[in-house]
Amino acid sequence: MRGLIIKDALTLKSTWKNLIVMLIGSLLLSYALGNYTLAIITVPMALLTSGMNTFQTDEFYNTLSYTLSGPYSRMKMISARYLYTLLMAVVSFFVGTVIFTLINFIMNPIVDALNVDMLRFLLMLELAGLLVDAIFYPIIYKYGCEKARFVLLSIVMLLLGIAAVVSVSFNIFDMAKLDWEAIIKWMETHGVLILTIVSLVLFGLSYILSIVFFKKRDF
Amino acid sequence: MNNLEVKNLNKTFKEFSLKDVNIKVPAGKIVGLIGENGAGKTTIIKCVLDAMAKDSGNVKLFGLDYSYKLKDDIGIVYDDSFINESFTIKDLNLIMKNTYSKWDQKLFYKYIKEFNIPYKKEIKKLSTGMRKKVEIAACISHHPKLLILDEPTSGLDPVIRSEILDMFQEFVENKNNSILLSTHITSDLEHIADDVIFISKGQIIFDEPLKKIKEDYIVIELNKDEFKKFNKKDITRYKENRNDYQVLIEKKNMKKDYNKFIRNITTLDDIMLLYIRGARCED
Repeated sequence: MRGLIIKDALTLKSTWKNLIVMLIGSLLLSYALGNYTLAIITVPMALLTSGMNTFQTDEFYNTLSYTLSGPYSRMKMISARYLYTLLMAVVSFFVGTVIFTLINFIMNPIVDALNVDMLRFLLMLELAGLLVDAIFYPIIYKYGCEKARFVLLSIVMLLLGIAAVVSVSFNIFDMAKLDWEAIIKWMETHGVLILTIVSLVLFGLSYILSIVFFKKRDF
Repeated sequence: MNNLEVKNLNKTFKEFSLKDVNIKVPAGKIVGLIGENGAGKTTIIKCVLDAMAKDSGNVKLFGLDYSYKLKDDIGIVYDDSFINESFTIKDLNLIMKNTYSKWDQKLFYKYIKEFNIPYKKEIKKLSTGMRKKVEIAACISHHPKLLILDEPTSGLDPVIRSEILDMFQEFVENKNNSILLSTHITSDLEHIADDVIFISKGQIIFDEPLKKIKEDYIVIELNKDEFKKFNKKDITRYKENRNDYQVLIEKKNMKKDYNKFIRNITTLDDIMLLYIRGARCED
């Protein structure tokens, strides 16, 4: 399994120049806009989505049939990809924190590194990233990268369409009556906890689904 | 002992199916798998290695029931799949070191040096021949007992092909090792194979020692008059060309006076071609 994680990490390594350019670009943009959030999240976002990119690279080079022919079970291959994704979420959080600390230090020499709000924001970013991966991965394992995007988009559109029709027909969801202030306040207090639970539960379910979907796939 | 044994392998697609395929690759032997494009060679290999899920059948590796762990002793070369070509040789070594328990870094770099392959260049910057050599070095550097090679020499020039075939012959000098070599370049097999399995439309047509195949089949060439007079019962397959007929005859049906119709040495290509494209006399 270590070999597969290293393979994915090396795939990411081969894009290091792009990551540097991304960081410089986002720093310039942030400087111009006077808000450094973009600079703080750009590289972590790229790292977070690198798991998804490795699917594409594997598909492009037809690597899956090669690795499946090696001393790996299908389950191990999936475990390696999920583990890599979790590792990248940790790395991404760490990198985000470092970028934020450096920017904060340069812009405001009084060291105020551990800005809790920013750390919480970064954590929510990682969790949201894991959530997206959790939704995408089983579909990619089932249909492959190319088709997965269309499958997911069609499912989302269908579900949204049905929800909208049901909501309008039965007047279930009156947006005007919602107390948005209360909702936002509640989310600020409980958002991280809720997102953590939802992301981790979905990530686990996604892993199981991926195993089921990948079992019979031919390469 | 058989390093690979496949029993009653079945796999069905919409327009193609493998039917009850049985294969044995004994230790110390090179077994060639031949057949036209789309005959099922790669499907067999992928089913054996679990890159494709088989419908039914049994695969034994080194005398044991299939387990992915046994693939630690198998080296693989595919025609169309490998790893990210932006990796360098060093990267590849790092991945393989963490994949195969018996990965021999020294041996790998020895091959790379022998092949004059630059260490630091990305794989995509190497020539086709060099790339194939890297794949072969990678497949052989963990001291496998069985090599499964799918068109390993396709697209290579005769010099590189010959070098690679020499490596394969060296590999089976160790009597515990064996090779299953799928190729449509049958001339490669004529030099190195012990046994040949011929597959067509998902079915094994024959599985014989190469020597026996060469002894058992003869291709003769007849003009139209000769063909008319020829005893059709002796013909296994024939193919009508513009000026003559190519006729495949089994040795048991060979008569003394047929010798005059032998124009060339019979090759595996001739036999394969006549089996696939030739007609039976009753057709």
